[in-house]
Amino acid sequence: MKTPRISRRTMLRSLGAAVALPALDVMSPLRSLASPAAGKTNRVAYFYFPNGIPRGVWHPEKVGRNGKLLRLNEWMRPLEPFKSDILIPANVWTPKGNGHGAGTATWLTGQDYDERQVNAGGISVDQLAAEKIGQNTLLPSLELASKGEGYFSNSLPRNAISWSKNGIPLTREVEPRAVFDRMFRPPSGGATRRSVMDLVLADAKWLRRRVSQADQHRLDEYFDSIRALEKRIEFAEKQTRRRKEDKALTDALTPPTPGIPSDHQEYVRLMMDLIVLAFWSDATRVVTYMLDHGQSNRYFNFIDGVKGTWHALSHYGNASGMTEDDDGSTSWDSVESKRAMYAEVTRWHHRQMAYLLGKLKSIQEPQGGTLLDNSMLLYGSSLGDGDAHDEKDLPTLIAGGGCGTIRTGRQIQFANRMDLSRIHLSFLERLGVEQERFGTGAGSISELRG
Amino acid sequence: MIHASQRISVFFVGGLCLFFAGLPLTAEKTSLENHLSQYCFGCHGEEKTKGGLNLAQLLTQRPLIKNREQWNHVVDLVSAGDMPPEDEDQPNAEERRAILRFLDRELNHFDFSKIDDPGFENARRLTNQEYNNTVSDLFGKSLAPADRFPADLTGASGFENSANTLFLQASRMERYIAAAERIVESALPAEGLLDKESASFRRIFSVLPGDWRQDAEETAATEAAARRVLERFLLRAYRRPPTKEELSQAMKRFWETLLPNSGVDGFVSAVKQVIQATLISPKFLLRIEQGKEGADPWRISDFELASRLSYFLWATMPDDELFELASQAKLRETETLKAQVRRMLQSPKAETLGSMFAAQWLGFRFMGNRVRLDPIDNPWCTDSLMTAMRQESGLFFTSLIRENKTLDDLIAADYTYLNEELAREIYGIDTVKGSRMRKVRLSNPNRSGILTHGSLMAVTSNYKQTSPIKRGNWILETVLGRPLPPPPPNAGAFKEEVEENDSLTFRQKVELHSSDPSCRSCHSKIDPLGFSLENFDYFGRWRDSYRVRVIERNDQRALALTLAMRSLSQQELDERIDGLDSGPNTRRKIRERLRNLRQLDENALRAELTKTLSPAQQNQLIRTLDWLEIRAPDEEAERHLLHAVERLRALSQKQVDAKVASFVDDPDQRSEVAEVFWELRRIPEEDLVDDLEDFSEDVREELLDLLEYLGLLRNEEKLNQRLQEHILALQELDLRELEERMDDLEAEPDEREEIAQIVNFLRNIPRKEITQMIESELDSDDREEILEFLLAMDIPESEEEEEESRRRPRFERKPITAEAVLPDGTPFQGPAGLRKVLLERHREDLLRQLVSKMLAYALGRQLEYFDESAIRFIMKQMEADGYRLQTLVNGIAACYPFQYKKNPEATQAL
Repeated sequence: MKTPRISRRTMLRSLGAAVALPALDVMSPLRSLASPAAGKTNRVAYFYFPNGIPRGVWHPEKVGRNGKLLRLNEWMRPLEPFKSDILIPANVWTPKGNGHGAGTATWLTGQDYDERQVNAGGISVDQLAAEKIGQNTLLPSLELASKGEGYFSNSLPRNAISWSKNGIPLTREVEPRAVFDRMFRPPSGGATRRSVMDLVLADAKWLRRRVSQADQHRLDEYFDSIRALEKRIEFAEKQTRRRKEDKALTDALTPPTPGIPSDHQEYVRLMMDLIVLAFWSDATRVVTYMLDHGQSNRYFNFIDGVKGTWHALSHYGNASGMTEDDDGSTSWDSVESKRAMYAEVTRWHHRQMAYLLGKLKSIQEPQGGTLLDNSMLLYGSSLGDGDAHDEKDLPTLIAGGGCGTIRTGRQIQFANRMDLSRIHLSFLERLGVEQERFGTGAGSISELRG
Repeated sequence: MIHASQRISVFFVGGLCLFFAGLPLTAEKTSLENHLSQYCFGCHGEEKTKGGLNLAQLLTQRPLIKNREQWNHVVDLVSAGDMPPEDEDQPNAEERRAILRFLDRELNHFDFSKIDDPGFENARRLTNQEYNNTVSDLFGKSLAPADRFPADLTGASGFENSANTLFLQASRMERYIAAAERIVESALPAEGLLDKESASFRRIFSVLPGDWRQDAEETAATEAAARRVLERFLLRAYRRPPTKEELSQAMKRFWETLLPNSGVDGFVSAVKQVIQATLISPKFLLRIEQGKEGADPWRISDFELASRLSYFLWATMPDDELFELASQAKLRETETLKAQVRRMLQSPKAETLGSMFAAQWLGFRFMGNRVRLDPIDNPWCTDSLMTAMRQESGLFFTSLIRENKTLDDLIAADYTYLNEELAREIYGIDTVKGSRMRKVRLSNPNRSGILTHGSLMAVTSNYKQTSPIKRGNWILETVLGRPLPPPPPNAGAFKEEVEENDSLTFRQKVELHSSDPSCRSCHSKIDPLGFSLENFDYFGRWRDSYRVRVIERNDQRALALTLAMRSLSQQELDERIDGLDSGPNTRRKIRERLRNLRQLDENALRAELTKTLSPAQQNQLIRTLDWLEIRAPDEEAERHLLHAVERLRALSQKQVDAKVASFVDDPDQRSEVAEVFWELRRIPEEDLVDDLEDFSEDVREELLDLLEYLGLLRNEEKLNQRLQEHILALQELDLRELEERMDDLEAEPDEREEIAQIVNFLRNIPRKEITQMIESELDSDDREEILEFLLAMDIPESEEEEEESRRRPRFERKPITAEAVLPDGTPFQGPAGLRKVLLERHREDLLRQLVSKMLAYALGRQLEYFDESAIRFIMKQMEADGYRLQTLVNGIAACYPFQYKKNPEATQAL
């Protein structure tokens, strides 16, 4: 391999504030955190977006024999360069969940949402994956979200797609700097000392004996979080040699500035960069990213020709600007133009996904294949058509080769509607989680292999 | 002490309840089960759960009122005959009545005295706000480490302090660990920086080993000091006294970390280590109460009561006085508790009742974050203004409770809290000075009570537009606790005829919409409430009229485009319509509409376009035709061409030849041009217009070029118009500005003099006479010259502005009538009318909602059916006491669920 000899330190310095990544693969042989285990490492990531899509814009324009993707439609054009890396399942649905609250909360659990109990029916697929493949990485999983805007940005079900086995909705990191710190600055200081941990665990045990049974689960939450933390600290301790290099990495990588970037595209791309960095450095193998909360009322006016909030646009059937979804100051010329703006917002998100795919594809792994080849990405929404407000034909897209287990470059047209839970099962299967049922689904599917 | 009568009932029914629970199902219950099983279980049972409803399972959850909402839904559908569906077996009339009668008794006449259940306040972590307040009180220093924690999310209750949404996750634990270190370092800085006189130091280190040194050995002195400091700290951090075991654990930790012979600094440092570990202990992070086994309710301890009370009234830990009373087991005594509530309400910490409880209940917490205006378009809408708006409502609410006002005052008090900016921007009051919020008496009858606060008017509006429906719905749902069923699908849309009729105000549109029978039943309840507040704009400023956009007619363009459309072949038109990126319905509508317009004769068409169509409909038509890429012929170009050709025809043949000869060199081209001209001159006068129109676009353009080339396209009108505009601009120019521009001109002194004279002359022409002067007194050379030097002076043309103002929408004012009619026909008007309606007709709803919301907040959980007794108990007390708000707070502090708890059913058996 003819790679220019670049000092690792120089390289890292040049990454700059935006955690820019393009040259990471040059350094792959020097990767510090990656486990040296033989064979390829598979990763999984879920990208959620709210409000659905205008029906039709998710269907490829031209499909060849056996579903081969020949040309994507204009609304999916940003993904055109990656059409051989993606798989578009059509006719996917969720039998139980739909809507903004319940649908979001159960997108990855495939169950019903109980508002009173704050319960999404069980563990989410990403957390099942993390239980299996997250034990040998710094963080079992990483939960990210774009900081919410508009009404419902504090609503729990609209901000929760990951649920631990105890039914706890996992906190999502919204600040790039906090994500960076979690990956490269493990907790330190007096409070993380063994003796302190023992002390507080003893406190929890003592309490657990004295509370009502109905309260014990809360202490179990406490135990679990302390154990997760211990594991992280233990993990860091075990890797003394690597930590030396990790320190070089840590010193050299410029952390993102604290706070939320005001430019939304810059913000989302920074989060995407961090995901690439997480996979590359093997800080985690499981990521979920909510591109927006489940009923986002974010303004996408920064896209040329788009006005109004995302959720208002999704109800494109009424262009008067007078429905309660609308902000009252925006109206549209016609249903068609409103629908086109709605599609434009979807396309903007494709552009960000394309950015991520490009990054993942540019990094060669020492064990062969690119980072994208050795990952499985699921990108989609819990609503089908935002105006019809249904859970039918959900926009769903799979990217990455899953270490050679997914044959991409195709559309899969399911004759009978396919339960999203079965796709979740198929992902789990590829990560070594043997499970017959998940959510409402029974049995993985063979179609991903082609 | 629990209210005596309530306690008696609790004791009596406790036994009865157990007695009833042991009885077999009554015959009536069995028959209900039979009916439901016969007619409903097929679709809503264990096999199938259509609509997510499993009645078989629901029926096992007793009492039925536990699932009141679902059963009410069943009642609605069964009584309306919508269920069972037509094609299924129907119960006979008697069976149907039996089902409904039974459910009515179970749901609406349930005997709550049979229930003895105070509920269970679950352990939960502190909210971010509670965490900040608690560490601040713990260390006597204002600290806010939780500001960068992940936000607290809310579930169905709408309150952040609800136990069921306060989860403890690993990533949050990391924040706690980092915060523990930061808090200790910030409150008690490392050696050297430590100020032993600081409030936070003295709050923790009430004694130091040196204080004992004189009469004890060093080790004993250190032990005594550490024990005293830590015992006190643990009591406050755990919000209860530490057990012996806990204290000795802490002391052990202290001795382990203490460096030998390290003096006072070492002592401080070792204590800090223990403190830091305490801050991540579940005993500090969680609000947790001692558990018990079994199914009997029990009374919580005095320390637990102190915590419940302080987190309810202060959103923070108890203070020393509460701890003291708790340790003496006196807090639970009725009079002591009342006295403490009175004392606590006077503390500044009680402001959380407004800034947290009321802000989360009524929604004004969203002011300034979720609800804000674009700061560039709305420079008046500053952060400080929005903060003041939020504070206004918070301070007002707190003051009502502090001053023991009444429910009526919540709705109708004649005062509020303002600072200068808020008073000026929202209330139009200019006598308030300075940024401090202070109590201001209001003399305007339109402003009183919390409902007319700017914050609430803003959070119930859409962006820069009021929504009477949103406001009406908010009053019903949030203020009165009487939510309406969700709107049917596709609600919220006006019918097209209504939407496009611009002669209607928004209110009239809403009224028309609401007159639709399927909408009326709900809108007749929502709309009047909302309309009574229409005089408050989207930020709560008073207004007497709407600013309504005037939609301008554009007859000429509508006509021109329609004619152009008519000149297309049917096939061409169809193709264009088919090519539209739209749904089949829209295309069909367009096709029909245009077919009509194509069939009218010209007079009828003119009448249709200019008379029948409203301006909005006309605009809609123009937009549609634009969308179809139909272009009106370029009239101006046509006119120019016509004038040029007329000029050409006015010339003699000789003049034409001379012009052609002097401009065209190539002999072939020359003869070609001559031929064209000859043709043009030959056309009979009366056919000229039509013939020119028949030329193709290309020919016309070529011709125009040619004529311009020959100097025949002198556009007098345009020149005159431009000159006129420049003269107008010159007249409007500020004198100093004018002088500067004249100085900038590159001109000889003579010229300058002349220019000054001309300028003076031009500036003094009366506006109305400009046109006439240009046309009669100047020849075309003069005109060009003047224009040239005006251009040189770079006077801003008013042309663009005029264009702009033509595009800029015009507005007119339509008066607002805040008259409204209740569903039963009772009229009322404006905010005063609304207040009357709320207090006279909805007093009980309002009271119940206030009690329920505050109780849910105080308990940190959603209310359950068995809390009904407590709600009624407090409501009754308030009714008996003129609806005083301290009676409410006292009632909550004294009520059964606040002082007792009982294991939830699911865990009792275990």
